[in-house]
Amino acid sequence: MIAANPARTLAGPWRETQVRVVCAAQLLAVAAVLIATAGSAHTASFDEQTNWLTVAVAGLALAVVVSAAWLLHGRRRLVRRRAGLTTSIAVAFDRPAAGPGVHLAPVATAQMSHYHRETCQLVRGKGAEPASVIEHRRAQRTPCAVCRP
Amino acid sequence: MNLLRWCRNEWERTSAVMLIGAGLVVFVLGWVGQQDKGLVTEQIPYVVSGAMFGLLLIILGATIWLSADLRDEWVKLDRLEEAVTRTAAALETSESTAATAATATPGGHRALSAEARPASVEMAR
Repeated sequence: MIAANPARTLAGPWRETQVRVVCAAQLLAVAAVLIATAGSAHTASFDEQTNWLTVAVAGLALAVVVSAAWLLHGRRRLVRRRAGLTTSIAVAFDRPAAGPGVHLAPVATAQMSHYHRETCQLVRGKGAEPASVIEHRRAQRTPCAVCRP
Repeated sequence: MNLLRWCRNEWERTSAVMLIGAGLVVFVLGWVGQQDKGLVTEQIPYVVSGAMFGLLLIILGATIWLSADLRDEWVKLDRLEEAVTRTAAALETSESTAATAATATPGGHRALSAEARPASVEMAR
């Protein structure tokens, strides 16, 4: 059975606290650049303007780092969830069919390095046994490139 | 009308486009503003307000757009997970029903009891 996702209530791969932290950090970055803009416009001293320029660069760097972390974290959670879902689907549906002599699960013999569909020409008459994808993967087998199970 | 509806539904992408557009405008204004300034101390405010702020807006817009893409994919996975859960439950139910029927009548449909046989079959015998 497929386990319920605890983060389903949120409309995205991020938690509420992460959203708040990122919003606060981006607002801080915007404030830094705006303050630097006002500060550099109201002074004629090159040294002071350089300082304000540094503040603006720091704000920009903060925005870049926070955005990158935000997107990478979201991407990572999405990839993990996709992988978990794929495994769940394999566990839930990858089983032999009830009908006699008909199997939905891919087949292979112990010596094979690939697993195949039961109808694949490469396993005809070789006495290949059906097993789940997970079991084939555990046995270091990869899908057949011809029948693409 | 359709554009308004799209903007409301896709508010993240709309705001992303607006931020990126505003960033480009600020960028160009800063570039134009500093062109006729001879002193570096006159140019630096344009660099800060134009280049830095424009770049910041573009980064924010791009982040929001990419976040919307990730969120869309997350919602699709939600739907897919629900569909898989429903189908798996239905499959399990049908399998358990079939198993129960098989144990109740050993031999499957060929071993129907006399009570279960249709009257027409009994008549034909």
